[in-house]
Amino acid sequence: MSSTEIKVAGGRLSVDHSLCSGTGHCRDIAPQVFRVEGRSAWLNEDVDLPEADAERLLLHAVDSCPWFALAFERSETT
Amino acid sequence: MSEIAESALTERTTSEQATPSHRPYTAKANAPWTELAQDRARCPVAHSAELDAIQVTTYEAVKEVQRNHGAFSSTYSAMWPLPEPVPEEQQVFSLADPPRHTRQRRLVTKALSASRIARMRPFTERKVNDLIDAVAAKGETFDMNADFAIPMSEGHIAELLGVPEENREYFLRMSHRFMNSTTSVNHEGLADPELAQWLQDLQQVVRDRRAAGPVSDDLTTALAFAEDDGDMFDENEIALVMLGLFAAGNTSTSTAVVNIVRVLDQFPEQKAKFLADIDGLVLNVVEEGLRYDGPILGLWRRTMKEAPITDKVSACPGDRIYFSHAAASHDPEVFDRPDEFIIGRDWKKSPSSMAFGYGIHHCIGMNLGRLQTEVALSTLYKRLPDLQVRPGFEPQQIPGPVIRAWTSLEMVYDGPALPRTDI
Repeated sequence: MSSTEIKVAGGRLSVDHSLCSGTGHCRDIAPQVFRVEGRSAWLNEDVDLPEADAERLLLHAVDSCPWFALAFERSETT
Repeated sequence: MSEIAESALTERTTSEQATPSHRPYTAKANAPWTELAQDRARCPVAHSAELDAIQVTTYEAVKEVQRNHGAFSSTYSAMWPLPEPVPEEQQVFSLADPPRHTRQRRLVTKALSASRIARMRPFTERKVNDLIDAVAAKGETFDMNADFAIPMSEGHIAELLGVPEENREYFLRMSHRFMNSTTSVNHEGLADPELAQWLQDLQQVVRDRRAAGPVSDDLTTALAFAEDDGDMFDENEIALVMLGLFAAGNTSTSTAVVNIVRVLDQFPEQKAKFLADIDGLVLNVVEEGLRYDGPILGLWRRTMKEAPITDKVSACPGDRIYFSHAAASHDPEVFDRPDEFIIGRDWKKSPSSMAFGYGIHHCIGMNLGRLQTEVALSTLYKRLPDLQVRPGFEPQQIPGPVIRAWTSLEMVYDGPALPRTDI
């Protein structure tokens, strides 16, 4: 299963297909999370990431996208 | 170079086998694959006397130089081996690092995204068919570069940016001047008087658009009225963004098309496969063509702080870096039989080629370039029977380490041209 928005690592990760050009930078950084198909990146559902590294890894992927197509928003915590 | 690396580098550069054989200023090869393979195997990260820089030729190391933009700066320009950084107000796009680069790039990613560029396809199909009609009207020979590829890429960038007819020839000439400034050792960069005048004229274009108001929907108007945190960009910065788009857009796509047309003739079995299933294989031909012979031979960076290029070699502050896209895209560690043009490669299972670069400076015209290259290659070979490079024609490379381009490519075909594909 794959989609353009998933809940992962205590937040919401999304890819904007109006910007994505399928360069695969995200897949290189976190292949367990991202796939590239039909010149667009997709997010794998049911991703199991170790909590400690997950946020850092996802923010790295977000910052590395040359098309600014990724976003990661941490959920509000109480 | 760092201490350990320095001794390693000195050892390499003083031993006879370890001097790079790639000499793009003085002895540029028509087919550099053998010498780049030698350099990659014997001295993948090594000082080149001709380039006065550390030459980098493996896929992973070329990627690392582009990934680590904090250590390997673009402010000394990517196009020229400048001795000083360009003035801060000129640090734009390929001459800029974050954070300046990031806010400039955000300005244009939407306009050049895959989804937006896909809407240009009818324009591309019409333009390509018009140009084929024009070459067919001239007879059964033409120059792929001057008669087809250059007017195609120029027409696209003029359409996108809304360039008035009276400026188009001038902007095209300046774009070529910009690219040709890479052919010999150049310490002048944008200080070249003609390029400086062009920049002035582009600033006037921005002022005129602002005076006219946001009445057009072209990219120039969008740039003129773009805001960043509520501030407009200054006209110099916008003019430099435009200059970058013109310089790259006017020349690199045409180069890609011409290069791939020649490669097809060098691999007749692959060409025959393509001709038997043009629609089914054109995307593979574009992908493999860009890998095998993309328009960028290599670019420059300047080292700002000590950083590894590989696990064995580091660069030191001040080191000039020349990294080769062409060498990376022919690295046998990444691509099987790299010096062969194979249109059946499975790109789903392969990393991308280095044709568009890697990281924050990844080619921003990628989608526009891909669209034109795809439509050009499929339409040329559908409409012009037995299209081929004139037998016996020997193309010439333009000199220099940055661009891989033929000055011209004489074509022949067995006319007449077949009907247009866009109606």
